[in-house]
Amino acid sequence: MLEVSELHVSYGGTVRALQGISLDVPDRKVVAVLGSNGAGKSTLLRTVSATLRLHRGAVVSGTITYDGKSLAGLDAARTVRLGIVQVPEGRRIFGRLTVEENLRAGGLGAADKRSRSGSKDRVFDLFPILAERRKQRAALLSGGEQQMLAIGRALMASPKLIILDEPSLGLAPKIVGQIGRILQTINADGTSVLLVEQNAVMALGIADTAYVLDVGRVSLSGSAQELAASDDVKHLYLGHAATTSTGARTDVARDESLRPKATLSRWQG
Amino acid sequence: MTRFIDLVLNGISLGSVYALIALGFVIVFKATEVVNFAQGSMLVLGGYVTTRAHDHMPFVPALLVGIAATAITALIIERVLIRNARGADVNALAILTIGIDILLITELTRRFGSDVLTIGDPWGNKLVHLGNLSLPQARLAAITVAVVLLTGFFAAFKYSSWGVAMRAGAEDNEAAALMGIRRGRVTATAWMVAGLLAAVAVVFLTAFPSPGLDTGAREIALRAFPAAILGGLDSTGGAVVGGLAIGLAEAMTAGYSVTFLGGSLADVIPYLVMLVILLVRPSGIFGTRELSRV
Ligand SMILES: Nc1ncnc2c1ncn2[C@@H]1O[C@H](COP(=O)(O)OP(=O)(O)O)[C@@H](O)[C@H]1O
Ligand SMILES: [Mg+2]
Repeated sequence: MLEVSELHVSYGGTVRALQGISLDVPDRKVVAVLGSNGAGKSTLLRTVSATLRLHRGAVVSGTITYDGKSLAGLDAARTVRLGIVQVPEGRRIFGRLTVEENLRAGGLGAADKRSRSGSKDRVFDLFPILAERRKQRAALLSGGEQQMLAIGRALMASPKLIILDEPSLGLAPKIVGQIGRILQTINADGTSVLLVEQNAVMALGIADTAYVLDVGRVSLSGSAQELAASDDVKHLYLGHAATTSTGARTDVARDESLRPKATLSRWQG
Repeated sequence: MTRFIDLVLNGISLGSVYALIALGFVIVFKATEVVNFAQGSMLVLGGYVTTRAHDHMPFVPALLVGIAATAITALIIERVLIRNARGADVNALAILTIGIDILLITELTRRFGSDVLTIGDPWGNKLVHLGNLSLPQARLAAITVAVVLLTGFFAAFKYSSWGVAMRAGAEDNEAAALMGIRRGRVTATAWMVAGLLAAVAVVFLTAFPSPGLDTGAREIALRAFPAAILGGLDSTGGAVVGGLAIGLAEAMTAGYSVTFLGGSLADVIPYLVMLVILLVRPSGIFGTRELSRV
């Protein structure tokens, strides 16, 4: 349903963040995009969601199509109304708004306004904690709860394709597991998932296919199983991350102790 | 004591008018991060159009015409100038609004000449007698109208889709865009609401016992600017508190004829109060952003 072809993107006309990326998100599948910091993952998602301009970035060449139609020239609001909704990196919930108001904000871009109350019931089903905290200011939620709110907020627009930018960032392993299972449920309900992650264990555990980005290019792609078994991925992302991060990243998510040590089999049940 | 109560009522009345104008500053700032220095001349424009329309129709329809003209002017400023320059530095945009202000006020001054217009409000110079007190009706009307408008605004801000979109966008513009919220519509509405508030405020700013409407109303309106800043330029509640504080301070110092540096303290009190508050709280009483960002 989403096809990215030979995409080149630059920031401020100089920084070439993407240098010819092609990838495919088939209908009702989960696609993972792996890559270390600065690989261009967020840039890819910004391009799909039409928020590049807010970062002074621009598409140099290449195409993105959704159900065969080009997304070029559409603004963020149009993209959401087509059914593509992003959960941004760092959660970006509205901290001063209540949980319920955050969900309401998520529903403002829904193509079908009547579906909102149904969406809210579904979000509260998926995340009972959000129903409990509905009147609280979102800033008071824990990190894991905020991520759930960010996902719930995106679901309020009834996406056909949900794209997530590093949802496991900074979360405890147990919560990461929970997020992974919820993404599987969302996918099972008929929503395609494009999942950008540095946490390859979680991502490959739930994905059908996966791509590895390396400084603006796709360096590897294939089925999630193939990639999980490949030496490169094992070396780079499954347990050896600390040795290859070369200090590019300093936040806690890269901290070995916070990364899930679970094996892939945990995700394939 | 009567005198004191009289001054307090005057202060609240003046303060609620300042609150309306200050709210206009705040919502435009929240929506676009731009300080709209054209608010003062937009207010004079509203008064001018209402007055001229009143030559042909009763006061209330004339006021509606004045409101519509001001809101549409605000919308044009937003669409043509602010929107097309989106991505430009907010300081540059603020300076742009100074340019608009000068343009508007120059044209209005030409039209006014040396006239002082009466806006034709229904209260005229009638008084209300409460025990020993006698208060201009217009002053009580100002308080009533302000309470109604402010209540309506805060209800919309809290419960309407526009309010949710506005607050979400003010907090995180990019995340709001990712939710499909159209910023353009939110900001256009914010500018129009600011225009509406200005057009209503001018009625009370120039009603009895004020002498009437001339372009000097712009300077008086600009006293709502320190009100907005001391409340916190991004705080709607702060606009109301700031407006009342300035109104009361001004009424008291004028009423007791306090002098300062050889002049009337009432003329400078808005700025003094603002300075004192900013020394203690750089982002205003309820604000979250420091003025250095402006
Ligand atoms: N707003 C920006 N302006 C300039 N360069 C940027 C901007 N955002 C990202 N970049 C650069 O683009 C490249 C890809 O960044 P990004 O897409 O954020 O990577 P990732 O999400 O994989 O960490 C990096 O080299 C980064 O420095
Ligand atoms: Mg990123």
